[in-house]
Amino acid sequence: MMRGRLLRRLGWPGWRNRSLRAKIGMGLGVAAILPTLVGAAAAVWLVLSGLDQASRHEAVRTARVALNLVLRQAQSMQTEAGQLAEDGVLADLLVSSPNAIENFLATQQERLAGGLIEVADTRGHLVGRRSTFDPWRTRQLSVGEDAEPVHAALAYERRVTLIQATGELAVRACAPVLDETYQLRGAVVVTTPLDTNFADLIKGALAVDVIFHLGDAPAASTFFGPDGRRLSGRSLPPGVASQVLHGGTATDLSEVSGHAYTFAYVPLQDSAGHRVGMLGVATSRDALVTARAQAIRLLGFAAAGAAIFAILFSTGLSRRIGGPLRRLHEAALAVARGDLEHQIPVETGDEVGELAQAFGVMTRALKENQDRLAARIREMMTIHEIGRAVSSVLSLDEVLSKVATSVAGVLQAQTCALLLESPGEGEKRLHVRAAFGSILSKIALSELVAAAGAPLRAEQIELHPELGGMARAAGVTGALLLVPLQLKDRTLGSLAVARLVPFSDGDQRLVDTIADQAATAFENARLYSEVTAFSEALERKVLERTHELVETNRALERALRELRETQTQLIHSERMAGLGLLVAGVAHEINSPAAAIKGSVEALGDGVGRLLACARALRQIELPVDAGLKFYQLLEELKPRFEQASIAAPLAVRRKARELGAQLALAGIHDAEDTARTLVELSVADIAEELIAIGGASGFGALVSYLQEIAYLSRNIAAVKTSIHAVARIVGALKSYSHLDQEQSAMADLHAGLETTLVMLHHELKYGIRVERRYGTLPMVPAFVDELNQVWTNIIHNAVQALSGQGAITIETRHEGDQVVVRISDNGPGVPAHILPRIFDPFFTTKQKGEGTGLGLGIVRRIIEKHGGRIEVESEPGRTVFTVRLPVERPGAAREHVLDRALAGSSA
Amino acid sequence: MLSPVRRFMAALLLAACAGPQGPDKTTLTVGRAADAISLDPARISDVESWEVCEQIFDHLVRYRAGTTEVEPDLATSWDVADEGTSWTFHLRRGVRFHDGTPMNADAVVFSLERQRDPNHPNHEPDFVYWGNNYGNIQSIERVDEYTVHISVDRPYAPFLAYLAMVPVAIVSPTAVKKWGHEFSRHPVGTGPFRFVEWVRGERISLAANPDSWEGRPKISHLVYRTVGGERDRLVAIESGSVDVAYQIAPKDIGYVGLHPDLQVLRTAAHNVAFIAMNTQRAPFDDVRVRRAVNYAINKTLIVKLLYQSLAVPAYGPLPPNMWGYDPALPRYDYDPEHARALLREAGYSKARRPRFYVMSTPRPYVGAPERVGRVIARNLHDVGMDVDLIVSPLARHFDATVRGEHDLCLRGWTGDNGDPDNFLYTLLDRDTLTTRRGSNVAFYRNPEVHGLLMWAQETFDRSEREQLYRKAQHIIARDAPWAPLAHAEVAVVVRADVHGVSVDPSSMVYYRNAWRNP
Repeated sequence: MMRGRLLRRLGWPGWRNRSLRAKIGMGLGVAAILPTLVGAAAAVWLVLSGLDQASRHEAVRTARVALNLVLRQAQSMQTEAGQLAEDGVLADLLVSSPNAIENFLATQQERLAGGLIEVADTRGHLVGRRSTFDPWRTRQLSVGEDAEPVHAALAYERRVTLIQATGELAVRACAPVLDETYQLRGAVVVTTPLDTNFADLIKGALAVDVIFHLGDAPAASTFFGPDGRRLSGRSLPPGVASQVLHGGTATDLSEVSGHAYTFAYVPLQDSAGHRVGMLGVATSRDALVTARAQAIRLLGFAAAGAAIFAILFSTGLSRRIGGPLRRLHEAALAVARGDLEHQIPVETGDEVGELAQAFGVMTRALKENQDRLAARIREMMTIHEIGRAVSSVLSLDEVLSKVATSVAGVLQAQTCALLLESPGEGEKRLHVRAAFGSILSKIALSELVAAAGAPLRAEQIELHPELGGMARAAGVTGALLLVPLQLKDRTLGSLAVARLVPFSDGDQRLVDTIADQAATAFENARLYSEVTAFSEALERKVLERTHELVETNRALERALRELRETQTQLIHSERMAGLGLLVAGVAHEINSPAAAIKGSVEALGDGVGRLLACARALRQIELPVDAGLKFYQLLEELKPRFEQASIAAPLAVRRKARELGAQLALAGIHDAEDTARTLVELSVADIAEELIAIGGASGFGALVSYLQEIAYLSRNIAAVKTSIHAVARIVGALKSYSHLDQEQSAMADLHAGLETTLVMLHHELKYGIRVERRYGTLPMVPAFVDELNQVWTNIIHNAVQALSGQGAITIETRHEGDQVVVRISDNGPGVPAHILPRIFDPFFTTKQKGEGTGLGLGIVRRIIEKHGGRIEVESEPGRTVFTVRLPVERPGAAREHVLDRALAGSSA
Repeated sequence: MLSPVRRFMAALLLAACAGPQGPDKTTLTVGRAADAISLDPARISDVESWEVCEQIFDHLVRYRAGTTEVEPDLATSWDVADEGTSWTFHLRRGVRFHDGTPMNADAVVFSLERQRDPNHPNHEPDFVYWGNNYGNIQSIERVDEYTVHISVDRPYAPFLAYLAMVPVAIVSPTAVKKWGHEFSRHPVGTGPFRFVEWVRGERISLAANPDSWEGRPKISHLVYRTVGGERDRLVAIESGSVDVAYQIAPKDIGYVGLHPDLQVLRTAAHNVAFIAMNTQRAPFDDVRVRRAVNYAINKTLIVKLLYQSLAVPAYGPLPPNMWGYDPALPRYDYDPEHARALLREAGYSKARRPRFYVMSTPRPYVGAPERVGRVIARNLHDVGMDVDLIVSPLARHFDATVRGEHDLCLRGWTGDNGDPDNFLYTLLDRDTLTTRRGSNVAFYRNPEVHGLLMWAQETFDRSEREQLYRKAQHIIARDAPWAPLAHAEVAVVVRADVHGVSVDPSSMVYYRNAWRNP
């Protein structure tokens, strides 16, 4: 209210005074823009909070993986400490020459990567130590004399735990030193701090920043400050530390050195379950923040676009609806002004058009009525005037003269005369009591009329069949109207009007009336009141019509409002659906493989640099041409091994490396042990001799370095391939989701499809699996080629899996009547009988977790059925056969059925 | 019916509010090394089948949680008469089987009679347990709707403990008649969980029994999944795909201890690992030689290093948490000097190397039998006794030791019912030299011990029985037919947010009261 008044004072005309068009336009505009804006804002909020939520979950998951790395490190420390303790050498040294322990430990330093090794004798005294740290830090990390962990180890206990050293967390593993007769000789304690080196290690593995907290205080991190100095970490937001140290995990979003991160913390506990610290990981949110800004901008534009569209649309719509209404309104105004000639230019077929038509009809009716009314009123006016004269004028003559004058005036008569019986005379004689114009002397005629008691009207009296003679005799010509003046069956006289123009019925009626009026003042007054009443009724009728018009108008407005609301809802929901699906899905799914590709590609970049260096070194050793060729051929052969190299157990690697190292040293190889270790780690120890043959003892190192770099490159490329495959899968899933992959069915050559599939699966088949083709002659078959390829891939892949690398796969094709038959068999161990009936069930799998979803054969059956075919499986040990039958004719019915189902699915 | 648009909006809102869906809070999943073999309680002997049956079935009596004390189950009380040969059980009223069949005297008689009577229409030839443990039952009779009378051939105190074991679980007669032999795949009992589905080799699914007489369990489903390797089980529980994991490698227990999401539940199990010496043959017919072996063995080292601390040293046949255990038993602590002296005193000759039989197969009571054998051989060598270590697979090992091919052998025992009789009588009584699959592999026959054990079997007063068992244990310790080694602990790894899981000394795990943090 206040606002309204204020606005009005500022010149705003106020809502009530706006035109209907303005109201509809503004209303539609607001109704369309507001939900759009609110919807867009809600969508932005939902998507962004969803992304934040996702980034938090991702961070927590990464933190758990990091925690796993820490714990695996602890476990491997325990193993290493145990091996060191049981090696035998240490036990001997503890007995024979404790002074040599430190020298021995120096040789073992490497296997216990960056830590402190301490050895105690059976009484708990420290007798040897090896440290990679400065004396001060060594002292901080030392287990100390006569310490509890040492005594636990001396009671044969092996233990690993996390400890709070001064200013940092550390892993400590203890183990008893036993000789080969299981005699206790001392104890080994290995302490490795969870410091920046270790944090960097995790960062290297997981590509996230890492923070270790000692209790709730930051102890080590991979962050660097703006000045390039390493940060120990960051202080925690309130509540995070207590949540993690007493409960479970926690996350928060904040910035470090100007970059946005999602932090996730998991607790670290010692072997007694006490929480000693926290491990935090920080995943970068920079991409997310950029994406957020972009999304907001995009949605802002979209909202603006929507608003403009809404304004244009609502303006157009209001014009469409408001225009005819306005014209209707103008017409109504015109009618109100009395302009019944006004035409309504509305030709629309809607309610407004009908209304306009009705309005036109009504206006015309009104106009006719009014015309009639006007004439009537004119008459009435006369009568009224006469009545008024009758009631106001005392002298009858004056009255009569007034009547005569008025009648003459109204009828534009040349002559008007009132003939009355003279009162008081014995004989009924008429005489002129009042007259206008030339006085009629032919009283006889009048008398006749008066006597007859009926009026006489003649167009030309002189031609009247009965009275013509009398008229001609009296010299009367032209139109003549004679009306008797009667009052209660008594004739008082007559009224005569003459003129040139003939009289109408109305004129006669008027004159009748006037006659009556003149006949009596009472009659006159009554007549007057009658006229008044009549005119009032007429007015009421007009009012009613107007009211009806208003009602129709309101109904129309209501219908418009509903239409407007429905349209708004529709626009809103479509927009929401599109936005939500695209943004949330894709962003989340593509993130992980993209990060992996990024990591691998960076590693590839480094690797290429190193490879160049190695290549230079290789050139310097000047290999003979054929040796060089042989080397490259060797590399080619080894490539698959690089890609799938598994990391052997450290112990096995060490043993093997030691053996190979000894051989290489005999062959005169420089750095024999390191080189041997590299070869063993790459699992190519078996080609050492070939390499010596190619490069000789001098070139051996360069060859191995080159080999190593190639191996790293291969692994990285394999990783990139895997990730790209993941991305492709996501995109494929997207495509499939949006039904973009429904290509057309075509006539297909099944052999071509089988061969393509075999090419695709070549990498699985080339080691030890023989493929036997028994192809018959096949006609072309209507098929979805890609889908059939999926079928072959699945079946052949299954066979490969069943064969575990050794055996034969037979593919047999035949044309049988109206079918083609493809039979794929393997000589693997067969499918157990109790599994066989379920093999085509969705989600059924016998593979280990991570090898497959179990959807494979379920999909295979669906595809085959979609083609109108059938798939069967028989199995016994040594022979498993999948038989696929496809119709040669186009499987019309089945295809339509599938289509129907697809349509039904998409509209549900 | 929601319009697609509204459904989409609802889904969007849900997604925004709820975040990724967590695991089902009311289902507990257990990962274990092997699948069950049969779910008919009368025909099983493996722990995997046994534990699932414990969830599905009740017995007349049961062990109080975490102990081996007997308490009422489907029988609310019982009377013993005629010097312990006549037992009358009063049954709980209003209990129904999962299929709606009422649990009454007829059901109890049916459950036991089908095992006892070889002519019973539902008798199966592989009801193995009955003959071994319940052969003393003469008759099972219905007295009235809720009373059952059982008579046994002679007074037998451990009888009640035997009735708490799975083979005599009460089964639904309706279901057994319906399924016949296939009842083992469609078990129906009265227990806290009812059977839902069994995918062989993969999983067994159970659902909470809402009408359990103890009230509905807090979880809605219990799923046993078979997860092959130790490593796979560890990974599965770390990732949360199982909530409880059995048989985690001892070397990984330290790792689990450091993991904030996991907890280790340990219970000393009712078992014992021991070296049995052939007391009927030189040189171990001389008690001094047997004691020397006891002194020579370094149990601390074996427990700490080879059991990775998941055990306690054994000083006699009974585990320390079983009633009847005597902490004051004489101990042979590691003392090689004393061992050497005893051997000298006995005039031990090195002329013949004793044969020391060891199994290669890990057992619940000894996870690394071969390494234990090597350490003990070394210990014995240190005191001047060189042995021939003979390592063979379990079946062969059992065969050889029952036949007495050995001088020394590594054996063990996992208790069935928590009664001391189940250890002392089964493993060291002269009656069991040949019966019970020859479980007395020391061929120990002491008439005094036999007298005490028989007396205890026929005594129903608990403290009197305890006295008798103490006396017997002291005699056994003095005679040293064994060198007891260790009682292994059961370690079950459980997610930190799971509570109320109860690990029994019988190494069964119960989920009646289990729940998960909301």
